[in-house]
Amino acid sequence: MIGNAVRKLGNGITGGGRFSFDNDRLTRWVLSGFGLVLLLAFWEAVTTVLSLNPKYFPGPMGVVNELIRIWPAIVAALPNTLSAALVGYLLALALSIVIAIPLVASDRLLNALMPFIIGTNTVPRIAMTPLVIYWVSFYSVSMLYLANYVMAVWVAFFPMLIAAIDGFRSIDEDTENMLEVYGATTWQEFKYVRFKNGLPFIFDGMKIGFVLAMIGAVVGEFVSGTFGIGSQAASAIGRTSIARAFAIVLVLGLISTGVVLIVYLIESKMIFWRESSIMGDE
Amino acid sequence: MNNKIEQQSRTDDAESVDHTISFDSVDKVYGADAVAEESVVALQDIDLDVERGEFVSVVGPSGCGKTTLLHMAAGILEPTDGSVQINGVDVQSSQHERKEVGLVFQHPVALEWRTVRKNIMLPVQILKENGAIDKDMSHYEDRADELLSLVGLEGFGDAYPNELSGGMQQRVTISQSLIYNPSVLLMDEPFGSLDAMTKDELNLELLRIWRETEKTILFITHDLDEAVFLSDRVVVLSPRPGEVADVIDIDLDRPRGEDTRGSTRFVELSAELHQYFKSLQ
Repeated sequence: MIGNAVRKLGNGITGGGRFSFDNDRLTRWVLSGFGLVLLLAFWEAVTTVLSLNPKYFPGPMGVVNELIRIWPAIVAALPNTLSAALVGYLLALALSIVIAIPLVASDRLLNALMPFIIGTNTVPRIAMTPLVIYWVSFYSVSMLYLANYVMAVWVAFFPMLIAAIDGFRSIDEDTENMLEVYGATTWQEFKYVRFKNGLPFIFDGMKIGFVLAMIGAVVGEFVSGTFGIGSQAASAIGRTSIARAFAIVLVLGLISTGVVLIVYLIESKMIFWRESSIMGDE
Repeated sequence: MNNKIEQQSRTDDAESVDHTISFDSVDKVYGADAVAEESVVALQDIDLDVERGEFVSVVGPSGCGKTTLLHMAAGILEPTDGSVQINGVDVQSSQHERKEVGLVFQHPVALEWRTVRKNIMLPVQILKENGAIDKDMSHYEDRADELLSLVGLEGFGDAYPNELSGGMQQRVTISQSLIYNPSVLLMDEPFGSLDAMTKDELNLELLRIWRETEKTILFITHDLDEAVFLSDRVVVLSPRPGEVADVIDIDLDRPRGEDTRGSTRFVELSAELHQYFKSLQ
């Protein structure tokens, strides 16, 4: 552990590691910030110059003003949505790993189920929302909000499952042969090689996964009408309150970005042997 | 298996067996068991005995089945016909002891998330968990330190593989294959992906390690000079189907060193092998 800490410190000093904040990276952050400001200025300018009706085409300032105005309502609606997205996400992640293990351990099982998995992954799963809501309401109308959790799992699970399968399978032939020569059992293969080797794939899946879980939860609320930020957005659009819809989307986007950034951070701590960073090192 | 009796008698007089590695009329046909019409004969009628402590190289044009040969000795592939024995025991039988064989591949297989020392310890962790070795882990921890200095990696035990050069990584793999003290070392073009200077350096190191550990080595290479420099005997495989075309005795004095490559006999043997190799193609 101490050796590790020293190593990281060393990387920081020499500027070669992930935890350094070198000039290149600073430049990239500054540039992307500049790009964002430019984009917002352009948006504001277009709405002003063309004197668009702010009711239908609000500028960024209008959206921010609306966001400040409805902030208490958003804060009240967020917990339900976030809980559905986050719980659904973690559940989908756990399921994807647990299910990927036997699939990778048995070629027969994988061959039998892979077409189904890929097929389901290709289907626009979000289109199933009304069905999911129908089934959950059949189970319990008073717990209709459960449909949002189910949607989050349903939408996020398959890409993460495929990522986990690809990850666990990604060991090279020499390593596989080496394990065979030592007589490693299937479980030892996972314990010593496959889990760690699959991590980069799993983290990539996790980055897509949260965004998808959020979409699942929000669309679930759109359709079910249960209280949450998704149903707030739906009603804002229903009342042609475009600025409010934008404000809600902005909040959702920021939350998703925040979670994905956290995933990146955990990734760079866990996969210490590989260079990885939010803005890219190379 | 119907050769149970045969096997029994082999284990009985195991002490009189001198052949550490023994290929007994081995055929390997790919696609033989499939319904597919086309099957490829990779190796045909291979008879080859490697004596205890001997260094034998196998050379041959690409696609002649060199790696297949090695993988059969390692037990990764099963011969279509015939058998491969290590210390008199069929490698496919349950009596075969995994700890008798060490394997070094062309590409280093060091795991990126393990330190050098932990990579070297990986085989004994697995073998120990499966009850294939008896000694305490502390014994192997001490041995890992010995190996680190044997292969010239003192002070790198706590480094990670991506902090090492290709040559150093291959030294890690060699230590890894030696940690449980196997009697046989199978090497599949271990220095094939290294630059010429590193390769020469590691050739010398390998000879020193071989001398100090008294292993039996079966070494696959496509570099004829490397084969001559290292070996007691060089086995030449002919292409498609792979057959033993010739076995050449290398009567160069040992220990061999830098000046061996400049000796008249080395140049002669190398030229002879190159000539013979050309006639095969």
